Amino acid sequence: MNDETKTPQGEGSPDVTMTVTRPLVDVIEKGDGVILLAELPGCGPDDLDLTFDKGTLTLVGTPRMMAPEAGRPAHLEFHPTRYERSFQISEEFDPDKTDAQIADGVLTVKLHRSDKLAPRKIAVKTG
Amino acid sequence: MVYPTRVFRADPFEMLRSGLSGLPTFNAGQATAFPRLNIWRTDEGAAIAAEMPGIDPDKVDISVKDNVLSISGEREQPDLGDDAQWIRQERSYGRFTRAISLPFRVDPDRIDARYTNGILFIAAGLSDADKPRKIEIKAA
Repeated sequence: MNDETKTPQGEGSPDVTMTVTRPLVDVIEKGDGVILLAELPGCGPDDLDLTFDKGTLTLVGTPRMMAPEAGRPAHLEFHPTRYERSFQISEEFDPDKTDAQIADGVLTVKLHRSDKLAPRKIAVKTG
Repeated sequence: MVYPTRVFRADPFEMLRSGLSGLPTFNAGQATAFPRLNIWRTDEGAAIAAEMPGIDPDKVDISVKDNVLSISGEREQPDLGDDAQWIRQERSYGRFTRAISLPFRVDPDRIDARYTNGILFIAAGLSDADKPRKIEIKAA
């Protein structure tokens, strides 16, 4: 999850490597759920894969670099990468009630607690 | 040059686990200025990409003086209401400034900027004074 792995990006370009980056995430508790804000610059909705499987929420994003066609690199501080991060989610959250949207390179995931686990008032009947 | 507001650093236990795996680690935003920049030289001048997710483009200023191009602005912490309780904060918020010294003077009228998917792209054109000129060689 937190590892950088260098993998060849195609047989024809052995010198080109792609790192795996652990994106920065804010976690906020709000109302009946939790909000995750993940930084995925360069990613649009089509560049993201978000899965919820066996209590693990996994996000994978492959940003588009969009380097100028005729440009010659002069100074590079970020490189082609793939964003990956997983979160262990408690059973109290309902996977079917997970909302996600991305805007301006920030993914917002809203996890809602299951209604089944919400405290309920039990009506006491007379015998 | 940059003044990020960081409340929490990366999870120390996560760093310990990954360190024990023997593999090099890399976290986004680790020990770098904000925003991170890529610069390419083009025939018309320079192309610049700045990683700045979650920014309101209206709160970004791009200014140019001679050969120095500056990007400054503010990334505000999202207002999620009074009942929001921040459990973990890895992203940074606050004001930022970065200045880029280019090997040519920039024409302020030849700057084009667009913000897509959290990346600011700037095309900075050469001023006429710095454009290469073909010198005609006259016959003696």
